[in-house]
Amino acid sequence: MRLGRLVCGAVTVLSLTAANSSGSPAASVPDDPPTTAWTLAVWQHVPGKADGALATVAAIPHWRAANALRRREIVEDRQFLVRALVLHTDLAIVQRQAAEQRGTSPGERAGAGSFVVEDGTATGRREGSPHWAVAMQIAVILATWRHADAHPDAPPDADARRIALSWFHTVNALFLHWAEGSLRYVDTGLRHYPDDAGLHLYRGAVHQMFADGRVQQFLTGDADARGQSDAPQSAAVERARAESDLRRALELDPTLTEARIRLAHVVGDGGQPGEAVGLVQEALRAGVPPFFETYATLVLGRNLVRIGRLDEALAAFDRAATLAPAAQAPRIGRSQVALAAGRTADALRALTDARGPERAGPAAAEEWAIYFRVHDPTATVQLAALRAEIK
Amino acid sequence: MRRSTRPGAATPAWPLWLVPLAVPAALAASSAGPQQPLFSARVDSVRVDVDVRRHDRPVPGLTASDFEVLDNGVPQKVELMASSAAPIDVVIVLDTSRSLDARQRAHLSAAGATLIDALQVGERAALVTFSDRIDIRSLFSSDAPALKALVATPTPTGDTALNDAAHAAMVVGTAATGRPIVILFSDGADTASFLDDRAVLDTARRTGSVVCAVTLGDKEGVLPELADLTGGVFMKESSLARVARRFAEILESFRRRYLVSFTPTGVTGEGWHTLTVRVKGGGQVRARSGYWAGPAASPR
Repeated sequence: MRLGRLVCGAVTVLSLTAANSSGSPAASVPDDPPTTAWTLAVWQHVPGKADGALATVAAIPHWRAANALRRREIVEDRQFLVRALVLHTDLAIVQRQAAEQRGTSPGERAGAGSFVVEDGTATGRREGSPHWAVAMQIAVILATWRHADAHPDAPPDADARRIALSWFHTVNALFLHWAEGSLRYVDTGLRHYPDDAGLHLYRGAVHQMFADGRVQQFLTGDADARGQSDAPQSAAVERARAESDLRRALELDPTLTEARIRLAHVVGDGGQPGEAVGLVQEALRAGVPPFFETYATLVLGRNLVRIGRLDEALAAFDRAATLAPAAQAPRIGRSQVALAAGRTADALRALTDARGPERAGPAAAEEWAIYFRVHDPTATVQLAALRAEIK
Repeated sequence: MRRSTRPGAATPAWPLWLVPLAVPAALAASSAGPQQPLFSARVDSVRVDVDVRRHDRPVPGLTASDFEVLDNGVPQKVELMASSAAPIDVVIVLDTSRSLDARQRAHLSAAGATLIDALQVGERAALVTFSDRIDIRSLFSSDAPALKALVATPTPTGDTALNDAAHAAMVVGTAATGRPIVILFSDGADTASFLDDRAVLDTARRTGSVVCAVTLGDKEGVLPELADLTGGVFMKESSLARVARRFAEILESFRRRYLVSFTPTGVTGEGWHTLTVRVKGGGQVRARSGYWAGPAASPR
């Protein structure tokens, strides 16, 4: 069963104890029964599968795992830590999916967890999984991990650090993919990897999301949300923060094309369309995957309109329409260009011409609406790479 | 569409827009009565719908000499035109985003139908619905049953692309042969548009529709500014059940507006022209705050 199909309770603890094929943890198993079960599950979990190991750990209070992670014999075993990292990540994903399937009700408005926002209005809250925190605890251990035999002044193990960084990248990409805004994981990641371009890119994308109209409308009307300590700020503040992070990402890695496109979007909306045009043109010259080409071309078009380069803007919107025939934004853009050029009939025709294919569903949503959710590489690819760390 | 006329309701009212030479002939052919030629053979004419009130009541019986119009500060010679010469073309814009429940959508459909029923002979309606997608359901038509059927047809729900919808509605308004007015309902501010506030205000400057908007609740977005710029009205309503009445009031009030016309004199240049409209004897005057001149259409 793939993770996406798991509903808690569909698997049993019994199936876990019968299977122990992935390693031999005997030397490091503590004698506390729940901790023992957790340790066994860590060794038995098959990455990406909704197996019995996940059910076992789901049944154990998460704080037991957190406590166990303070034991020396556990933190000294890098392989175990990596396995535990993947297991708790998988479990958090499963629990998120289960919470999503349960949905929300108005009665959950006052509860804990994430706000569920639809069309700028909070419709409920969704319970979060405590296993994200456990996984992050493990990632932090790995970020500073040294082999037991290493000299105290030796740098942390490079491989462990690389895997921990991969986790921070993956989790932030996942949360953005789900349109769940959280600074917790990216801020923690940046404390341990302050010069990582990818993490600055993700934090920039989170702030970009916080500046989005959907979030801003929600904040306008929701006093509860505004009162949260990590609540998004005004669009202008969030745009400034996004700009800062995205510029830093590009300083650290000038080849980070996604950061360049996002920065163009942010600075264009912040009143610097000329700079936005330069940035996005440079990104497009470097070559980008299909989604980013559509997104970048739309950013290019809207900023070319702002500086009055209408012929080039029209070419950009034509390109976007070719890349995404079902998208609405290129047609709106073409209409805007025609109107600015004094061609009102063309402006109307751009809106009424036969559309391309209809959207297939939320996954094929309007490109302009999902810009903060898509990354290169995608969250799915990054998650697969993280799971593949378990040899 | 109700085929009735309102005796004594001939007071003109229009939005402002720049009228190119080719338009008057088409307009005269399609809707103007033969006794009331709208335009002489002039290069351009600017028309402004003007609402004049004293003590919050419409002021009837004004003549051209009662109006003072300044184009970029330069006084203009104005004419007053009869509204019967150019009937109203109304663009109905309805928000179908997911924040409206089924009952609210039913109220909104009823409000749209009420508006269509209120149209008089020669008046037409276009229909735009929107959530995150903009759907131009009908261009200007006098086929009331067909329009009402469209209003009653459920549409997909999603986020609120209010700015994009307002842009589309004003562009649809450019196809008007009569006096274009956009009557828009939204239950919230924009959450999903490609166009930002500045862009949609730019559309308002470059098109001629008067934009009147009714919203539910406190979220209003760019709508008050849009209404102010185009000489329209912005209303907040606490219940969707009352939106139908608001729509009818807007239409009725629009019919009572004066239609002031002038050929720009002593002003040159493309771009934005600021308009000042005053009435002798004072009063509350509502009219577009300006108009866009040029650029000349370029071939594509």
